[in-house]
Amino acid sequence: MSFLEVKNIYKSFGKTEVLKGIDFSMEKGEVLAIIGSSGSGKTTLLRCMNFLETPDTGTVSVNGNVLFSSDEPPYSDAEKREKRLHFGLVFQQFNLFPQYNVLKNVSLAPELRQLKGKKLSKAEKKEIIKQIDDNSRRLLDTVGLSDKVNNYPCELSGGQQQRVAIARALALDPDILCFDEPTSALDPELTGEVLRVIRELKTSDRTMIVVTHEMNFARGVADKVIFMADGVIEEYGTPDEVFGAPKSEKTRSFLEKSLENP
Amino acid sequence: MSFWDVTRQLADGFGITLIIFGITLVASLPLGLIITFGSMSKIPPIKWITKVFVWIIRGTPLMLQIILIFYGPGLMNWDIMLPRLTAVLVAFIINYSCYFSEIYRGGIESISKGQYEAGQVLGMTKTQIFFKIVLFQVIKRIVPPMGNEIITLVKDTSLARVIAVTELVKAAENIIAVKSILWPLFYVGAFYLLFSALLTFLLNLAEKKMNYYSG
Amino acid sequence: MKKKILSVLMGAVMCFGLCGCNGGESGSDVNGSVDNSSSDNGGASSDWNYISGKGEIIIGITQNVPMNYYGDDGELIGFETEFTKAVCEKLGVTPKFQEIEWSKKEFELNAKTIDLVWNGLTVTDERKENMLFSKSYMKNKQATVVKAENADKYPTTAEMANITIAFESGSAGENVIKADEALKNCKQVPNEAQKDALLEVKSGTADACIIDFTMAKAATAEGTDYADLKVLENIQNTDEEYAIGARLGDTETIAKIDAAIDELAAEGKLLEIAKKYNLDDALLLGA
Repeated sequence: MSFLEVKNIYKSFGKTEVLKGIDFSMEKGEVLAIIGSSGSGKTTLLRCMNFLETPDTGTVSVNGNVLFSSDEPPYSDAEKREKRLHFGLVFQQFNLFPQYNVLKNVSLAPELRQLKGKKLSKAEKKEIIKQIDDNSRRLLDTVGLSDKVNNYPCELSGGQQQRVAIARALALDPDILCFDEPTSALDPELTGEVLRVIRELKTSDRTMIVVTHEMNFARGVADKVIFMADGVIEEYGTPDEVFGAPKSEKTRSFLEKSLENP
Repeated sequence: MSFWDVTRQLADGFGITLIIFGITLVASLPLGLIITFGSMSKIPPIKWITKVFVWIIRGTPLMLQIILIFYGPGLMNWDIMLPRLTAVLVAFIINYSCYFSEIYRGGIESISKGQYEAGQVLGMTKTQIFFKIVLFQVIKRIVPPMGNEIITLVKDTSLARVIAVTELVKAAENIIAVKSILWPLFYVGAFYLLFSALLTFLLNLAEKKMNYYSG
Repeated sequence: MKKKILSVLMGAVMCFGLCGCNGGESGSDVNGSVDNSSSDNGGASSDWNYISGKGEIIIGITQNVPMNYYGDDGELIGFETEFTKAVCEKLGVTPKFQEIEWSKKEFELNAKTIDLVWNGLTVTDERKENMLFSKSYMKNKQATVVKAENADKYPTTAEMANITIAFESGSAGENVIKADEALKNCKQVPNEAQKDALLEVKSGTADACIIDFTMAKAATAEGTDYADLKVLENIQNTDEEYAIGARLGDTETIAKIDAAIDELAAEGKLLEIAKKYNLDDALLLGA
């Protein structure tokens, strides 16, 4: 059994079928790149795994645990909160919290999670907050922003903001970290610093799914590549297979176009 | 009648003005938020009842509401009789809660969906998302329109005199009625101006304080 | 007209659904005739039981000289103030003076937020539809107030045709204007209160106003801002009288008040109070 197994995911918005039966699996420590033109359903797939959308049918399991199954009754908010923590998500638009400084952006969620509904003495509380604080600083260090902990998001460049967002997603230590076109909202000269961080995470054995338009990145970093078109997985394989010897006509024409105007 | 006698009498009226202003503000700020939740509710009956209520309150003059709340129960032979000032406060609190609720709603709807989703994927509860992430951003955005409404409230307090509550303007009118001197009516303008100057100063201060980030 | 306003308002109250309590009694009181059966003290039900049960009687007043006003020591004084106190002493109830907006006196009575209007209230046919009057105790007359420089222009009302004239809406002054051939063609400015009508003349937005004579005299005395206005006695006054107003149907209360007034007149007490405020000439009883 694979680390992540996604089976038979269907999703429609009204009459529009966005996902028409998605099946794939991946192993722990792998990096999976999902490519495809806009509207092919890749972002929706990512959002389904993060419980931002509910698939119409299908199952998602991580490490043998079924997180989502359309056969089960609808999950309560509390159940969803527990389940989605197996995944982290980095958004295209960063979505940092503008009123908090960089450090607080990273530490807020773990603090809320660990302090909620627990009766703790002041000293215990302080100890927990200190641990979270230290961990957050460490994460910000790994994304190269240890000198910006006290700055506010509006004072950072887009690339720096996206790196904060990565640290924030890592703070809850998800099993699988998802990226939704993490460089699409960035100026070209800023994409490098974000991609470098993702590359470094790979060396630390992070399991990641990256929806991206950066073909060179997908080719150079990913262990597996999925090409999606019209709500189905058109092509699946190693980067060499997908980029070097695409089997499908659609993949070939997509890759040609992408290489013309990257 | 000496300047100081007039000042003293007007100061009494101004005390009532401040009570109406202060209590209305303190009660309407949170109550408005509750009405906002009602009008943004996903349960249709709650949503529509709230919306119709807000429409009635915003669509009729505050003066009429004051008269209705004070005289209404007695005219209907109900055994409730609100003291005058209480009736004024009830009318003002209902009225201003509705206005505030619409400002809140505008503010809440202006916050991007991404902020909610970021909170969701970080495992926060709906309450945490609202109070830890959204609310402060909403407050920052609504300070200017709220400031407008709050300055309006200062002047609206003069409507309390329709049921003979002796606020600032009524206090001046009483002096005019008894002493037949006119200048106190213009003197009250100074009270209003000074008070709204103070409020403007505080609102600007609040705006500046929250300007440590943009967006 | 007033009845219409009342019923519209009450419809609105129901729409508001302000409160459902005690709703069984509602609706029986459309034109302000207070339902005597709904007394609070549970015993014999009458308007007087309602008042004596409370032990206090709420008197609706406005601040005006010389009827009800605050003296220099901050005490409420005036002819009506003292008269009210004397009557209430005989009735064995405590008067509670409540300032009201004059234009809402009928509302106040019917909503039971006051029990009596006692403030130099002129008896008019229109008002009789909405309240019950005691016996009249004082003559009233209306006077014209103009700027002093215009005082000679208007020896009679005939010369006042087509000028702009201010008055308190619903007042005895308005009745004078409606009844007078010349005045009814004037441009009319109805105001909330008599003092506002004076302000119209002072500021020149009206050429003249018609208000109560006693009020006009007091308001234009030396030392006031209206000292440059002049009171003209050019009006053919009909018989106007002051009385006390109660809710329609409060017959027992009015009967008791009338008896007390008679006693005070016989004792000479009424004259004594009137003299104190220079109103003895106008007194109808006990003079």
